[in-house]
Amino acid sequence: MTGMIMKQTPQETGISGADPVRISLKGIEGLGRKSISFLLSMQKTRRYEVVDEHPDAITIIDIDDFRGLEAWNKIKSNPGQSRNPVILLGLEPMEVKQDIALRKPFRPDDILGAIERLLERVSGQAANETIEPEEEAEPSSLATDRRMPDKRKALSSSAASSLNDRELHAFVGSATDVDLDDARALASVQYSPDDFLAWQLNRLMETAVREQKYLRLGCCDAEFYIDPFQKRVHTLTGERSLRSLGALPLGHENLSTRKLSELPEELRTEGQHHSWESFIWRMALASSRGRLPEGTDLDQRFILRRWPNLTRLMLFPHATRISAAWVAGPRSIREILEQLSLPQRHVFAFFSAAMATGYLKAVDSTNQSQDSRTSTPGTNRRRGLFRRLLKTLYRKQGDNQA
Amino acid sequence: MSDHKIIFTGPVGAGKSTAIRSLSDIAPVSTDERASDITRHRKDQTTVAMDYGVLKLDGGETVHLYGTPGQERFDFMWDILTHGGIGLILLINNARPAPFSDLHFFLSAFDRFIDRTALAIGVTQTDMAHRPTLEDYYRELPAKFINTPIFEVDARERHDVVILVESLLFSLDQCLEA
Repeated sequence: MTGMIMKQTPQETGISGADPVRISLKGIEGLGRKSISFLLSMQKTRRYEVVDEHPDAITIIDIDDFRGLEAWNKIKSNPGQSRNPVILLGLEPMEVKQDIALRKPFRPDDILGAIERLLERVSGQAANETIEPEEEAEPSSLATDRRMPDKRKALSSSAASSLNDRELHAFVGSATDVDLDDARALASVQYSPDDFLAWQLNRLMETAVREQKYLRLGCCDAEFYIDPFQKRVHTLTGERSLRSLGALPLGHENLSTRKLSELPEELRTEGQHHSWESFIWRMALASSRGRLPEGTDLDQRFILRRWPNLTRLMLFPHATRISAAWVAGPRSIREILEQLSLPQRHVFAFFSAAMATGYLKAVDSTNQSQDSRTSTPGTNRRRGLFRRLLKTLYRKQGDNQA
Repeated sequence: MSDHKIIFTGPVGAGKSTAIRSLSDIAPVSTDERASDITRHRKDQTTVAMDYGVLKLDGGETVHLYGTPGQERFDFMWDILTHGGIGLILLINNARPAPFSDLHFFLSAFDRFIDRTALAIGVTQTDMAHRPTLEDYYRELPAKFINTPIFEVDARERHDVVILVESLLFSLDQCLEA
């Protein structure tokens, strides 16, 4: 991280509070410039301003354009000079340390996620310089395994809390339904799971369990320690940065793993530890943002091994309803969508989280007897009463429908 | 006007009274009294009759929330209490010496009622006792309860109790639209 930013408060950087977030585009002209400017102007949660030059601006560089490459080379030619991190766009994989590289093609959300992550880095670093130690650690809204009774209440309520609008966008996305029989449309709501943190960690946990070793995953400027014995993830990374990390495709060149015989001492005393289930659930939602993992067969039937522990997981609209349907019997994604008539993004988000955490398992269509549960949706003559009861509970909760 | 009820049951100290208090629109009527038997070692007061709360729905309907007495010597009341009930919320105190025994006792005691309706299980005090885990509970459940929702629950947290009730309703009617 650069010294220039580290010594500033978030207000001084000009990228928080009421000030607009300044974005400088290099090597992005014409339609590309207009598209990004339009994308930024459409955001309601932050105000952006596209500028040519500004000392606090976040720079986005297209290095496939000669002007962008020139700008990038100029930045790299002064390694000792402090600077803001940049977002690099390119057709080829790039090795970066303090910056973020997005490989083309990317989606609008990828750009927004990258900007968000840089902002959080900046504000986090600034906070490290200016805020009392007790306030440094961002309160995690993940359910953790800290069992101290005085912390329990806050953790419980935050873990189970419904998402606000911004979080809802970050974790469930805002995509409209697509024609699932249109291959191109379907591709637009898919993502490559191997590119994301949740799925990387998942694979590493399998290794850690098999080899009975702690594993450390270095990922950009964050570190994750996988504990196969307690089924936990330890990290010093704050919750907001985690959300960004979970949402961004990771360059595999930025990942490093190491086996450990024991956890570092500072993690035992300072680090946050998250239950594996709640951490992966949340990170998988962040990577999905209402999309499906690539290669998912819409007609393959799945079943929930058991109900997810919804009181301790990030809850989003319809998660309880989808759980009930998928625990009752084997169903494909198409069948769930048809039965529940829900926006696709909610079902896709649930599918991603439930697959990553291992709750959902595929059912062999040639051997339906492997699971005795019925696939016939149950109904109840008291449906009207139930609906009114739910309405009352949600209204009093003041929450999104769960 | 139709009245309906949800039954909360479970062993001493599982949080039945607290869960009802978390949901009720009225100050719950609790008949907690100073216990005179072995439960006195666990709680200064325990419910020797029943807890009662109310959820008032739009349009004037009422859902009654009944908590069964925590002492088995009152089990003669349970059949009467459950008559016409929507479903059963079973709270298990994970910090008790034999939570699985409690689980089986209450599943057996309410077997007919559960067969007619549905069940949701909340495991409380998991901050005091980490084990058994929810996975352990699922392994312990008889096969016919395989679809039963089981969650870690803090009975003081309304949100936790709402999720329990919600899961109960969606289990009863998967096509229910909220």
